[in-house]
Amino acid sequence: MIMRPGVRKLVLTAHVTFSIGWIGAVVAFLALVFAAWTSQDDQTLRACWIAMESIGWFAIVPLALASLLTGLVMSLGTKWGLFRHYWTLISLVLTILATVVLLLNMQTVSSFADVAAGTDSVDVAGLRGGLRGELLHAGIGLLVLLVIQLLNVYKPRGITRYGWRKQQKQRTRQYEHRTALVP
Amino acid sequence: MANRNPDRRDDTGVDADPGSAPRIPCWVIVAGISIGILVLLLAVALVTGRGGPASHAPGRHKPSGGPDGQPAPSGATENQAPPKGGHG
Repeated sequence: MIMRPGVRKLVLTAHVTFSIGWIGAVVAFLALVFAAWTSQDDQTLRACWIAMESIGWFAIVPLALASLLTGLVMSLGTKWGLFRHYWTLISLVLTILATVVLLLNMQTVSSFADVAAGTDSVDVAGLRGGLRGELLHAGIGLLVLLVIQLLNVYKPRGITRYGWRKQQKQRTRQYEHRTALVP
Repeated sequence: MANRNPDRRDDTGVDADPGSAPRIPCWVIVAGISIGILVLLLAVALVTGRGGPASHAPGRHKPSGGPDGQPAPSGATENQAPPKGGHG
């Protein structure tokens, strides 16, 4: 079902906001990883892990899910469709991939945040060791999100076989409609 | 003169031959290979235990003994994690 222009603009605004917000939240997460990485202070290291968990669960995860949901609505509610064009298909695959990896990685972040929040002796070396993985996850994640953003803005050419068949059917229908109108 | 049949070329930029399905563009092949490699790396990381949720668990890095090399007293490590308030 094609959305009306007013609704389409509203959903588009929400989708852009959530998508850009997702990128911004990942950048904030990376900033905390860098802060923890460069600091020699154990308290800063522990605070960064706790903050990383909060940013992850309360900003990145909700924004990722909202971005995925509004993206689905945008695709299904416009002529672009979900599987008709390669750029929408690849955007969808990358978004799902990024969301799954995010949800898996957040469990690790929570484990480290639990240790960092502990009142007893804390495994500082372990907390420092975990930063490398977070740098990798967030770095690659940011790269993937930027690729998705590029695809969504440039909308490169390319129609799938499914999209082509749909297009052919639509053209046939239009042709039949026109010829029926001719006396 | 304006294009008499605007439906022939929409804003997808694809002007396919009506008789045959369009070919897969080069950028899609490159993107597909890149995504495949990414997924493969993820799968390898999960299978080998270097990228899974439990692989970086802080417990792996915990010292096996106390500061002087003696075994840690029982319950010392178990009490490190406080009860969580729950999140998502």
